Amino acid sequence: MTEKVHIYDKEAKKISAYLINENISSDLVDLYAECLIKKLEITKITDSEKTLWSIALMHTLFLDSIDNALRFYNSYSPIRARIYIMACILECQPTYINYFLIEKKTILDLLKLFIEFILYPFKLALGFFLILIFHNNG
Amino acid sequence: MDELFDNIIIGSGLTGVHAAQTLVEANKKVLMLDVGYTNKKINESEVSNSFLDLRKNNTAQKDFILGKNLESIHWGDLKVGAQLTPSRQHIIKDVEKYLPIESSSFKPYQSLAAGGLGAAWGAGAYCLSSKELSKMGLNTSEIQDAYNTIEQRIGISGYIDDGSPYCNAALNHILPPVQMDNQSELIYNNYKTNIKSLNRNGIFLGRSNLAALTQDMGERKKLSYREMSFYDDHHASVYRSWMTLEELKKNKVFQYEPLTLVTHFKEFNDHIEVYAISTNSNKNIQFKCKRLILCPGVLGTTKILARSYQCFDRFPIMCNPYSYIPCLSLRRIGLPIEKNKTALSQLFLYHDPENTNVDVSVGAFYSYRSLMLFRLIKESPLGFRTSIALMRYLLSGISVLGLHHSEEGGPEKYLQLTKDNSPSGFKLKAEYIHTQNEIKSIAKRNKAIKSKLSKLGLIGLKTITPESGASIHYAGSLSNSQNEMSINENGQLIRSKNIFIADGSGFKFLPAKGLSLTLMANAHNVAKKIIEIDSK
Repeated sequence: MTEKVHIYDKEAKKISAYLINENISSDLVDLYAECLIKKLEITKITDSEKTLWSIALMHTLFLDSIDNALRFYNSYSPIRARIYIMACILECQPTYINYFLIEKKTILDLLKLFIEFILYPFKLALGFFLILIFHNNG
Repeated sequence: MDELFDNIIIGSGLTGVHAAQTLVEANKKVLMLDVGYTNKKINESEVSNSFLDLRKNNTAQKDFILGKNLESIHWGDLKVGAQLTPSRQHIIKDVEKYLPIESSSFKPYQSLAAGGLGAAWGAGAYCLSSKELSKMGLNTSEIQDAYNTIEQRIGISGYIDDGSPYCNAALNHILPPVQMDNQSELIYNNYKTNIKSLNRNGIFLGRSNLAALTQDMGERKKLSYREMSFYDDHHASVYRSWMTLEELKKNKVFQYEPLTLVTHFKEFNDHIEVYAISTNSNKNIQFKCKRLILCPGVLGTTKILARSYQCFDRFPIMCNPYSYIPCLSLRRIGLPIEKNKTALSQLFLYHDPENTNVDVSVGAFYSYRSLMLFRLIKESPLGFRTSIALMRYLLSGISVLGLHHSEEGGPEKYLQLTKDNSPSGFKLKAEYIHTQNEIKSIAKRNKAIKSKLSKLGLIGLKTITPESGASIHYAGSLSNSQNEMSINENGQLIRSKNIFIADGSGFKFLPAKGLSLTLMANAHNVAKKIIEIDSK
C-alpha cells in the first residue's frame, strides 16, 4: 500500500485543496488510495484523458475548470469519479464538517458562494479550452 | 424434511409475519420459509446519539455512511438500491442472482431480507377509503376492522387534520403525531394560510400517519429524533417486520427456516410438497404441508405459481407511477442545521381534484440531510467544489416530494416466466409500458402539483421520473378473475383449495397511497379465513 499511497499523494492533496482549500493528512491519503483501488472500475483514467489529468493536477484552477467543463462534456469521467470519491471521504470526516454543514449563518459564507458563481463562467470556459486542447479523442 | 406441517408461509415481509401472527395467536402450527438475510448491525443502535453527533465526533463514520466496500458510492445512472445506506444493503443482497428479471422497461425492487422490502419501508401508514378498497376487490368492512388490529400490533402515530380522510379516518388508537421539524412546520403553516386556494385546486395537506412510536409500547421505545431512520432501527421505534418475526420465534407453534429460497410446489391429494434451494449450500430441499400461504411479494408469488403450474402465459402487473420533485424553501436557505429531528416524512400531500378519495395522487415530503451531500452533488450541473458550497448553503431549505399516482394496469404491463441459467432455472420477463394517454395524464398531475408548491412556500426545482418499478408498490398479478390463476375473496387460489395468497397479488387496483397497512390488514384477514375454514 505504501508505494501506491505515495503515487496518490500528490493527486489526493491537490483534489482536497481544490474541494475544501485544505491539505489533508497522510491517513486520508491512505484512505483515498484504498478507495480508488476498491472503485477501480470507475476511477481508472482512460488513455484519452491521461494528458488532461496531468494538466488538471498542475494547478487547482485547472482541476476546478476541468471538473466544471467535464460535467457537461463527460459527466461520468474517471477524473470526476476521483474528485467525487475524495468529496465523499471528506464529507465523512468530523474535521471538515463545516465545509458540508452550516452550523452558524455568516455573511462570509454567502460572499464565498457569490464569488464562486462570479468566477464560474470563466472557469467553465477555461475547462472547455483545456479539454479541446488536451483531451485525446483518439 | 419428512414432517408434515399444517401451514407453510413463504416470506417474512409485512404480509408473511402478520398472517403468521394471526395463525399463531389461534394456536395454529406455522413453518415460515425465508431466505431472511439480515444485517445484525442494523439493530445495534449504539452508533451515536444522533446523526449530528455521528457527523461531528465519530472518526470511523466513513464505514457507516459510505460502507466498508463503498457500497453507497454509485457512479453513473441511478440503479435499484442506489439510495440504500450501507446498513440497509442486505435488503437487495443476491437479488440479481436468485431473482433475475429481464426487462427493458421495468426495474422493480425485490428482496431476500428478513422482513422483505418492509425493512426499508418509509413507515407511511395509510388507511384506504371504502371506494378504493372496493375497487381493489377487497371487503371494505373486514379490511377496516383489520386496520385496527394491525394498528394495535405495530403502533401508528398521526394527527386529525385535512389529511385524515385520506389516511387515518378508520383508526381508533392513533398515537400523538411525530414532532415536526422547522422545514415541515413552515410548509404546514403556509398550507393553513393558503388553505382555500389549495383546497379549491384539489390539494390537501396533513401531518404524516406513521408506523413510528411516539409513546413506548412494550419493549419498543418512542422515537428519539436521531435522524437515523435510514441507517438503523434504534429502540425499534419505527416498525419493521423483523420485530414481529422475532416475537413469533419465541412461540412454540412457530418455526422459522432461514436461507431457504422456495422455487415451486406440487400438489398431491392430501398434501403439498414445497421445493426450495438452500442459499447456504445450494442444495435442493423439500418440505411437506397441508396448506401453503404465499407471501413473498407479487413478483415472488407470480414466479412460484407460474413455475409450479408450468404457466408461461402473461400475468398482469401494476406498479404506481412515481416521480419526485426536489423543492427549495427560500426562507430557510443558509439557516443552521437542526439538532433533533426525524428523517421520516412528516407531511403527506394529497391531490384529489375530483374530491372522490379514489383517484388521489399522494406525496410525502422528506428532508434530505441524513442522506448526505455526496448524493446531491453528483446530480448538480456544477463542478464538485461549487456544488458543495451551494448545496451546503441550500441544505436547510431542501425537501424532496415523492409523488405516487394510482394505477390500473394495461396490456403492455405484464410478467412472464421464462427459462434461464439462474440457480432456480427460471426468471421473470417483464415489461411495463404506459400508453401515451397515461403519460400525459401523469405529467398533467405532476405539473398541477408542482405549480401549487409556491403556495406552500416552496419552489419545485425539477420533476424527475425514474423508470417504472421505482415506486416499490406492486400488485395485481392474480387479479384477472376470468382466469383460474386468480384468487377468491378468501385469498384462496381458484384452482386449488389449499393454496392461499396473502400479499397484494390479487388486488384489482393500485391506489397511490402506500399499501403497507392494507397489505398487513389483508394478510391478517386471509389468515382469519383459514382459521374459519379449519373450524368448519
